[in-house]
Order: sequence, then structure tokens, then C-alpha cells
Amino acid sequence: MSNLKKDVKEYDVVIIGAGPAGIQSAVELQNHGLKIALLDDSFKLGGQIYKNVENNDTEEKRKLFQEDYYQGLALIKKLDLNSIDYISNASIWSISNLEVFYSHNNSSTKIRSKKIIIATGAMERPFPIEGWTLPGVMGATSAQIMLKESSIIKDNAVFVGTGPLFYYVISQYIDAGAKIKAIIDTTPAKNYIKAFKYLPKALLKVGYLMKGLGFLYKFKKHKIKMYNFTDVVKFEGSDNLEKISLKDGTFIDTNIAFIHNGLAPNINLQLQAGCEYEFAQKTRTINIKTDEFMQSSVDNIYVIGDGKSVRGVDTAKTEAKIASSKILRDFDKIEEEVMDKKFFAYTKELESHSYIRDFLDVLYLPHINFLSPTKDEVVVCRCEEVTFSTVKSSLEIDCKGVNSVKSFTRCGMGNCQGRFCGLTLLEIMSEKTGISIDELNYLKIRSPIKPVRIEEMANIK
Amino acid sequence: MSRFSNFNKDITFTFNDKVYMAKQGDNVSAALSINDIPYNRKTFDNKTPRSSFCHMGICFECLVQIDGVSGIQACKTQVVEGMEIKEDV
Repeated sequence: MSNLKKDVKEYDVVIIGAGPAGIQSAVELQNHGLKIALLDDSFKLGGQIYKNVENNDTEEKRKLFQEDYYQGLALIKKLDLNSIDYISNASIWSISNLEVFYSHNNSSTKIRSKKIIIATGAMERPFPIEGWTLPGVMGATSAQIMLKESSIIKDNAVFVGTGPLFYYVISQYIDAGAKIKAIIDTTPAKNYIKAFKYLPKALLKVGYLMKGLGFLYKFKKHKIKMYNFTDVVKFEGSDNLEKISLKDGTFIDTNIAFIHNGLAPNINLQLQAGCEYEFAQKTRTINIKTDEFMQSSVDNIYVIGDGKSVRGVDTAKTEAKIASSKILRDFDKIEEEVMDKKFFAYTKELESHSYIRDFLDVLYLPHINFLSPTKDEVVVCRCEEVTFSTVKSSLEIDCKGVNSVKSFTRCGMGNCQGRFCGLTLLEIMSEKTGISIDELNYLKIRSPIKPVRIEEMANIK
Repeated sequence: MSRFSNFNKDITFTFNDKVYMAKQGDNVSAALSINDIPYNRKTFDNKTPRSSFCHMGICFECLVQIDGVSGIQACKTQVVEGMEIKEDV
């Protein structure tokens, strides 16, 4: 046993996730004499937002992906890979007592760290509507990922959804030369009125707003058929998506739909590690609680970026700087005074990033029809094929929380471990029982958070 | 379905014993997608076909069998020359 202990690699800081937040943290922490590991489950640096940026540095692609994306390249260039251990293609499956377990090339390793920064980013919020499991129906982010990673475009796709990223992806698709069949915009009309009062503050970030208007102008210019304020959408087909139907009986024939119901923090690792969370009413997502230095309720575990709450790339980077300066101070690498100064500056930075946030959050909060299913046959849990009607019947036999619904129905028990049904379950439960949603517990997330072969677990290095 | 400005090397792989082409650097999900392969697995209970949904390792819809090993996330695996891919069971 003592031998085994001696072999465990020890770090000062382990950073999980090599997107904007994770890379920024590594950049801040490197070259201070600390032993740092950067773990990521992709093949390349950048996360989803800066995906494959190192290979997309051509003149043609610079026109398409624009400046925002290439900020990622500048950030990656600051990374000194000689001074940190960067481990790509690592699937992290557990954190326990500051020990991190990950799988890499079919073998699992345990490392120990004094501090951990979790920067797992965001994921698609579930979009539980009829037919959303049909092949051909994909997340809008997957359109962007295929574009950045493999230069693939799918012609005649229909985009269905709402949110800043939704318009951004469509715009990139147009620029890449894709033919788009239609846009079904699910932003509720009411949201425009509700968001109005946040407009003055948002105007402080006028460049951002202009960019949004530019997208809408582009859709018009390209004469893309738009369906606005849509609150009922159904995907139809036998083995594959064949058509999309709307409330008024309109049909749109298509084999490809990219759907987007906004983003939510990707929280399974944080929850498994024991970090406290809260239901954020404004975004209707589960966010991770931290103190002002981004430290979670678990000592020495920091949570930053969209994996804490979805506030975009600029906020993610600033949060990385805040957490890193606190960590540098804790290791006595910078003076108290220096940290205070940095903290003051970064807090101002955070505030500036937030000007636009209330406006966006209110404007793009999905319609209730898309948060909680409206039809019995809607699949809530994709992995275990649990329908809305099954979830409802479990509530009739007096399930007290989402975890007992999970036990009764297997909803949330499949491969994705509730990532694509957890929020929907909360919404249904709250709606049907009348219990306020922020009083409900989320799914209990246990280790391993990703499937790991028993052989691997038995031979942890 | 098309590509723009991808000058990576062509490679071949098989899906359910049929030969297809992809580009180096593609993940398996992208390789199936560019070839219009409609689905990569069927669900356990109802046998309904499924294909990649999120392309970022979260949804586990893209599970395939690769070189005899089942339950592999296609979007998290790079396709390589001669790879034998089958629908997951």
C-alpha cells in the first residue's frame, strides 16, 4: 500500500478543462515554480469555443470565424507547455479528497493535487420536444463543432431554437456557404417586453448588440425563411427526421435540424466532487456556488467559467484570473497587496462583462413549453427512453424528489447520467407538485461520472 | 453535405463492413455524418435508431463498436486509416 502511495503523482494545481477558462488559469499560474497539470477530454486545446483554432489559422477561415475565435489562438500561444503537464484526451471520472481520476488511452490514472480548478464549460440545455431523439436532429453546437473541426457543412438544415449562440452558429453557417432551409425562432414575444428594461445597461456593450442585429440583418439579406415566436414544434419521421411541423399545420421537409434551447453549465463533475449548487431562477439552470475568489463549498476546489454559471467567454477568463491570483497568493507566490490590487481590477472587469448578461438572460429564456414537455409521448430521458407520461405516473405514486423518480423510472440512470434530462425532471417535478423548484434537490451524481471499464478501475496507475 | 477548404489527407474506414472515406482529423461522428450514415446504434429496449446529438462527449448517443470494442463514443475518437466501425449493440 505504501508503495502505491509513493507512485501517485502530486501537483500543486490540477486544472480540468482546456477551454478559455482552463487555459487562462494555466497561463496565469505557469512559471511561478508550481507543479501544474492541465487535463482535457479533447484532442486539442481550446474547448468548444476555440475548438481546433490552431489548425484553422488560414486567411479564408479567418474571414469566416472572425476575431473572437482567434483570440483563442493568442491565448494558446501564451501557454508554456514546457512548464505544465498538459494531458489531452483525458476523461475525468472522479474527484475525491483532492485526488483526480482520469481515463486516458484505455487506462486510468490517479493524481493528487493541493488545489483543483474545474472549468468544464457549458452544454446544450435539454430541448424535450416530440421527436428530438430522431437521427438528423442535432444540437446547434454540433453544427459549429463539425464546422470548426472538419469543415463540414450540412445543406438544407433547419435551425430551431433561441439564444445568442443560436444566431451566431447560423451566421457562421451562412458565411461558410451553407444553404439554410429555415429558421424556427422560439424566442417568446413576451421576452422582448421583459428584456426592455435591461436594455439601457446592455447599451453599455453596444458592440455586442450591434453584432446581434447584424446577424438578423444577414438572415434577411439571405432571404432565409423565418418562423418567429414559435411555441410548438414537432419532429416527425420513422427512422430519421423527415419533417418538422408547427402549431398552425405548417410542415417543413428536412432531414437535418440543428436545435438549441440555450446553454447550461456542465456540472456532473462539480456535483460528484461535492460542490454546493443552486437553481438559478433567471436562467433556470443549476449553477455552482462559489465565494468571491471562485472557491466552491469544497475547500481548495475552484469552479470557474460556464461550468459555474453560463456568462460567456470574457467572464470565464476573468474568473480564471481571479481564482489564479488567489491560488498564487495561497502558495505565497505573490504578495497580499498584489492580489488585492488584481482582485479589485478583475472585479471591475467582471462587472463590465455583466452589463449585457441580464438582457440576454431575460430575452433568451426558453418558452415554458420547451423547458417542460407538453405531450405524453415526449422522451425526457434519451438514454433510457423514459417518456413524460412515465415520469408523471411516478409522481402519482408519490415520489418525493427527482431521485426517487430516477429510481422508479430509470430517468437519469443511463450513459449520460442525467446531463440531458436533469433540468427537465426538475421542471416537471416543480410544475406537477407545486414545490418551488429551488427547494428541490438535483440528481445525486456519483462516481464514476463517465463509464469506465472495470479492468481499468482495478488497475489504476 | 459538403466540405470547404479541408486539405487533410483522405483515409478509408469501414462501417458495418462497407468502405467509406473521411479526412484525417475527423472524429468518428463527423466521419459517419459526412457519409450520410443515418444511425450508429439502436436503443436497448425499443430498438429505435439514434445518431450523434451533441458532438461534444456529453449525450452518449454516438456510441459505436470500434475494432471489436463496443460502447465507444464516436465523437471522442479520431478516425484512422482502416478503422473497423460497427453499429453499437
